[in-house]
Amino acid sequence: MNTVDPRDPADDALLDRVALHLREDAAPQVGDDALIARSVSNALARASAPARGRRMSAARIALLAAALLVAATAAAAVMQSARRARPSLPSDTSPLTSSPQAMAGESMAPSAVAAAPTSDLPEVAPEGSGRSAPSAAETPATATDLFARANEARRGGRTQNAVRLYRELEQRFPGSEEAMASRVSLGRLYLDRLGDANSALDQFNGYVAARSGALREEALVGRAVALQRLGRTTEERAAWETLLASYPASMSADRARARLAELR
Amino acid sequence: MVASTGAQASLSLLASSAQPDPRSVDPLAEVARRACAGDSAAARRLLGELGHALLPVLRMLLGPRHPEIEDLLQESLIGVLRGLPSFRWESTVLHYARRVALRRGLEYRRRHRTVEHTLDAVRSSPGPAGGPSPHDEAVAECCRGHLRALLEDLSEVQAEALTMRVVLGYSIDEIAESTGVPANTVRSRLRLAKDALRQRIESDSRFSELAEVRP
Repeated sequence: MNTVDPRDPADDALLDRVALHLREDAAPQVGDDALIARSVSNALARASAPARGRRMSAARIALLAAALLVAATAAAAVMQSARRARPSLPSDTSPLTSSPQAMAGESMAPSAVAAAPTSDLPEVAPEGSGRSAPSAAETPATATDLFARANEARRGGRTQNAVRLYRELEQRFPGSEEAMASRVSLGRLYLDRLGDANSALDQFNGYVAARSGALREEALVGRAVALQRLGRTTEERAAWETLLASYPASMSADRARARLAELR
Repeated sequence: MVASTGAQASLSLLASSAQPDPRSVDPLAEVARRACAGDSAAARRLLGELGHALLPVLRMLLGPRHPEIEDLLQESLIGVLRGLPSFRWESTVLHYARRVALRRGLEYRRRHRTVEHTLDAVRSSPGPAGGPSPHDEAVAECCRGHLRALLEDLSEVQAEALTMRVVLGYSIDEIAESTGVPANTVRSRLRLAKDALRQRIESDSRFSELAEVRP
């Protein structure tokens, strides 16, 4: 592997030693197969997302235009009919209000209006979609999509957007794996970026109460740190003890012991 | 399931592919070509194979329990898929994919350096007794911690050369071929990176023993 020049900077005992220690970190872990399977599925879905997004965008524009046309026509018809009918038909039983056009007008117009407030997703909209107000149809359809968007926002430093998306994920798909995982991500956002230890604690507690999964150790550490920030020392002590009891080989075990020693 | 056979195989693959030979038959070339042509089943199979090989690379760069590992693996796999149409088939698909993952990992460390230092402090404390001695574990963590921190401070090209050497196990010639620069340029980059690493370790008084390791 290494070249023969003894002075070659690649042929170096220090680098060999560092490489050896790095490889210790590469060891397989419980749940790797599931992690990889999730990653592959999400990658395949996301890799095709932009093209699909553009196609949907064109279709959506056409649909919206048609809906607006129908709504406008129906509204005009209703108004004209009302003007005509009012003198002779004071009741609200105008046949036009139950006609297909009118029904379409009633059902489509609110959708078009309701689409406007959901336009606060510009940074996660597919590039080149050519619009500034995504419709409600753009809301991610699955927990996986929403989780991916939230993660993108978090990694891109769009903290508030990420928080909103994680919260939406928890509300819309409360029992999903993504929603549970989002509790740890959201907890970290609150703790590390927003300095909101109370909200962070809620998130970590939510995960710990519901799961014994792969992120439980991370959630236990987050919970203990949040309690430390809040000055709730009795609970913090219990949190570190729970971590040590559950994960004696935790990477945070020494930190937990040191903190417990301080609290005595 | 403690250690998947797929993951074990990928580690073997990782070790054996430390000396990639572009002239050898690439076992992933056919499935990659089909994936590139739009065969979704092939794409899934390709990413499944690569996932087992890229996960160790990201863990070496970021640490074994880093919560962003899964996201970064996804990003890497997407990068591989999207890059396939322009892949020139001058190396193996695995070699190409590992470079994609390496770049994603390096980019991540640079983007999140402040937060990551805090998180590293939480995650990187030496492990408890039961495996290596506390001292050995501390020395190992020293190596890993200083290297990962250094990656955020080195120039991009130095960081890439250093990680190709210590994470992917490439020789100077292999790094030169992969990055398209002369071997002497790689030597220079590696020497600077290694000096910076040694300086960091030597300045850490707890680990003076390690600093005595010389070529």
